[in-house]
Amino acid sequence: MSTPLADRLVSDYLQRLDAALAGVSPDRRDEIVGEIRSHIQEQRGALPDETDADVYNLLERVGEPYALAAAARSESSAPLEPVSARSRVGAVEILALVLTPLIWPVGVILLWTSSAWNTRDKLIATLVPPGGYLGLLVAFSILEFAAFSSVTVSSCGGSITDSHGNVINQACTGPAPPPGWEQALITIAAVGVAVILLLLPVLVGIYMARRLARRES
Amino acid sequence: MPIEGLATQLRKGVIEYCVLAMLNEKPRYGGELVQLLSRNGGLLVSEGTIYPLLSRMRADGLVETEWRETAGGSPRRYYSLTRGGQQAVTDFHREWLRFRDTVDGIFGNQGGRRR
Repeated sequence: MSTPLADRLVSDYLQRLDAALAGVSPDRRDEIVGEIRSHIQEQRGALPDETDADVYNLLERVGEPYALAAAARSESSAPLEPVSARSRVGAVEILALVLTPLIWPVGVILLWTSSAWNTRDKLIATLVPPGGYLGLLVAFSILEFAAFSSVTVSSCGGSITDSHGNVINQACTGPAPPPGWEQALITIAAVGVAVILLLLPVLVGIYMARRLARRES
Repeated sequence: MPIEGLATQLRKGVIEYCVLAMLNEKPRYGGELVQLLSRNGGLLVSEGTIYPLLSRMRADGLVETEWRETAGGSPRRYYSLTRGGQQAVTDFHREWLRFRDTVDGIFGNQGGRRR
């Protein structure tokens, strides 16, 4: 037979637990409180002749709310990453780090022969940016060519060149060139993008080195 | 490190995988896991700690839950392994055997020398 005191003990306990779980996501909080509530209910149901002392004992067995909340907040020991026999950092890893941005094909081959990174990191290092600085150089050349030819095509109907190929007269029929500030904005944006792209291989290199360090520790 | 501290660390390291291994047999509800774990002696700090653990493993995608009716009682939340959870059990078991053999190898040699 449950007494009013026993019921109040349990509801107080659950309230303290819920309060202790502040900051844990609502979904998990509901799950934990709900599950512990039904755990207590079930245990109480199994007692043939429940006394207040039984309930005290039960709540003690279930555990202190703050301890349960601490367990809810603690880090998971997460799925194990596949650990290979050879995981020490050696010449291969250092060469891979240095060569991937500079001589991309060689660096990438070294990168993928090493077992010090997982597949996700290897993909990041290979594809951000694809081709390393070599790839960026190619990309910039293509972009420059595209920008140059599009300007020529869109704004100038035709041009007259002399025998040396120098433009001596252009018949520009397209819209007027953008005002100065717009041009400046475009230039700033272009320079910004270029700087970010040029920094990318370095940033990825730092990231990969840190992953190595973390693995070593 | 004092030996009690070591025991706590060891327990913390394996409890999650022991629960996953128990769920690998079949889906179970929290109370069932508490019973199994207390039968296996001392892995749980308190009965309640299983629930934060289960909720975290659910958030990590290692287990999923399903409510099931029970005979003459209120519905229970049953936990079962996801594919990620099954992979974690396999990985842990492999690592555990290797770890155990390494430690046993070292301690076995020492015992041999002393005798």
